[in-house]
Amino acid sequence: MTKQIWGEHQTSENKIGTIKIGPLTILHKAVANEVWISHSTTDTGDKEIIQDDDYNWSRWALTGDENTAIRLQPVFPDRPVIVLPEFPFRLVPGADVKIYTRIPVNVMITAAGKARRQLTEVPSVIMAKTWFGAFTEGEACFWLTTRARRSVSGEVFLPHLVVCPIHIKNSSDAELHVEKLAIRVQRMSIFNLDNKLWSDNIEIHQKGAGDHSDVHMTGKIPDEAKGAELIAAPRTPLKKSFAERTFKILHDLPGMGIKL
Amino acid sequence: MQFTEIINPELMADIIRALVVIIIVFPLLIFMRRWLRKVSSRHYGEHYGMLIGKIFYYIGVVILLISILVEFGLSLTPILGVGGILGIALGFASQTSVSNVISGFFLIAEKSFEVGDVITIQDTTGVVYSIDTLSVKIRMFDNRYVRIPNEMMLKSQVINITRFPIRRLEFRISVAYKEDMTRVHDILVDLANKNPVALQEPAPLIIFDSFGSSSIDFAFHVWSEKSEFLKLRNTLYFDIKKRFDEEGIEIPFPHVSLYAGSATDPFPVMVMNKEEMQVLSPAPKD
Repeated sequence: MTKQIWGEHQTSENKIGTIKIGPLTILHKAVANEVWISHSTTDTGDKEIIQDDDYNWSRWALTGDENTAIRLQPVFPDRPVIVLPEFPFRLVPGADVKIYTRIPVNVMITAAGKARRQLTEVPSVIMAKTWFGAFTEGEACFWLTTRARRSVSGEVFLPHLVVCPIHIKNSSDAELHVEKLAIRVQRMSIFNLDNKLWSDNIEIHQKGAGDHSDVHMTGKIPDEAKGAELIAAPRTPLKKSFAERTFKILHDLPGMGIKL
Repeated sequence: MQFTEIINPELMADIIRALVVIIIVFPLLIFMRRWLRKVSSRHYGEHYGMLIGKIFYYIGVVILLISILVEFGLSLTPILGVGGILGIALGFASQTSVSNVISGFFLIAEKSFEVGDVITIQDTTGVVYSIDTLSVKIRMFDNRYVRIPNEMMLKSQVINITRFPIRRLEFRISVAYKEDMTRVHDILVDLANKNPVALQEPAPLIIFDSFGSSSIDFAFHVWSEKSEFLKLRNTLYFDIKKRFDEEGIEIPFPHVSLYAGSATDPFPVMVMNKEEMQVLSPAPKD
């Protein structure tokens, strides 16, 4: 199914075409040398699109050597994503665990010509926002409540979701409370294997110094997706390793949101 | 004394030299100030760029003036002496201006607000347009231009609204006494979670406020990014009203019972038979 989604789509003159990607519907048409694009995250079912007025269109006039076909590419959101496991779990000293989480993609729409001109980018799911850091400084992130799975099976793959394998290792002397994870998705790639979207492996190594951990985006295809094709490079160039505040330990929480 | 005796060739040469210095150095000073401000702003921010530019300019002007006076052969010692006396006299005469200049430097150095911040001082709220030698200029949201002397800025309480990246919005929610408080609490949490602008963390907070005269009052605190504060305010108020209407939760208006003394005394009731009734209200005659 994803084979038809990601890649090139022909637009028809004055006729509305639709592409469904999970809860997102992208509408497109051509008017002379213009591409018209609209989108909706409200499920319209199989209702036929009749009225132009039902949608807010954006229009792009292209140059003479560009045709009006469009190209869709999945990309990660432009902010880090805070992943909140449905049930917090703990890693005893020396333990390691591999979990899988799913992150909704943004859809980058480009003109299909040689210039690959970017037209727009739309989220497949409107995620909630959150703040990661102190009241005086920090980082704006997206918020995702998900069930961290221990294995992947067929039903977890949906066209608008990327499966992210996360390997967590606790080398510290203390128990590690995994209450939430900040995933720097801007540094991750997306791979496609048989219409299933995968991110590169994320390695998290808790060494025990404070709450800091080593986070390593390997940039490598996960073992489960050997032979997958790279379809989206990271937004921010990948660094080999960097230490970042990733875990939010349970006892840190009471300071947030209580001060009057 | 003849005019030619006063304006002798040597003095003329000094005047020309001084003019040349002014014509060349002064524009150079202005150009250097702008360049320095631009470069410093790029590296250290607009605020410090402005400060560095000003310090450079005023030092340059003082050096330029001294150079010109020296060019005329005047010794610095009596000048400084006269300058000191003049300084005291001028200081008394221009206390306010000098105070504003000095306050301006403190304001810039303290950095409690910068150009582009939204601040409130007394009854004025707006965007800081510039921090100048004598005053701070503010553009209010209705596009009025306000000039506030630096001294007043330094002495008054200034609230910097956009200093930190996130802001908390406070709602006062009142519901009728008949409502289930737990249900109201859950609905408010749900509304905050579903609002795309509200932050999940710091988490929304609902605090019981009081048993009011006509209602149970809650304080509802929700955080947003500072750029989306107004959007949150508008959307969440609409959402609360709509959801309360849907759920049948009453937002009460003040209930007042009036008692007007003897006017509200109980009605006197008398038990009478038919004859007594006829005496009191006889039947009309045809």
